[in-house]
Amino acid sequence: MLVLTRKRGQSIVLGDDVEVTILEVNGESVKVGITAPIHVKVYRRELYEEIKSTNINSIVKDKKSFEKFLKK
Amino acid sequence: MKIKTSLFGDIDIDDSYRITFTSPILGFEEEKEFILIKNSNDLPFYWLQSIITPELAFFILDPFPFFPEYNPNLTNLNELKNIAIYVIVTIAEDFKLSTANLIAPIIIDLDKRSAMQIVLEGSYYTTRHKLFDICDPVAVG
Repeated sequence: MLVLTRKRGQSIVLGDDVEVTILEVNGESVKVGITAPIHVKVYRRELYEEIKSTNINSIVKDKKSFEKFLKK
Repeated sequence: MKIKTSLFGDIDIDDSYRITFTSPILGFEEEKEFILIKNSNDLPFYWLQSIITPELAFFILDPFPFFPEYNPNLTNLNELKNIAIYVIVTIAEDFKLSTANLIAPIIIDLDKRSAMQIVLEGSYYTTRHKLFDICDPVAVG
């Protein structure tokens, strides 16, 4: 892993069109600003993992529950 | 086009129902080809069935009848003129307890028949919004 030290207001450029700027440092929290083209997906790791596991849990195994609901 | 499915058996479906994910359903990066099957009733429910994997199907719905306040920020997708928005439902054993993933909707470009799951990062939506308020049942249809 590449490790870089940055100060508030400084940034890191990734590739040709992504820039990550350190906006604010407050104790354990760091606020970062990201500029990237639309096709570059940006999200917090834990949100990514949560959506992935929700998707996996949403695979429909059978229609029983839905059909029972329709009959009511 | 004939496809095999676990939920519906072997089905023959017109190619125009085919949808190609250009940005995948997270966790299903290898699954790009789906068909959208409407329920045979007036409810806003659909099945998103994989063309290549019979066991892979999602239950999706038009979020607006259930969540009239739903307002996903799609300013990044301004160039798309003709889109449909769906959300994936996690079906509970008791269907009334099912939840919808409002933070990661499925956007379908109806002109190109392409789709993507987008993430509304920075919004207050979550992966689990109840479809029905149990104390005050929602009339659907």
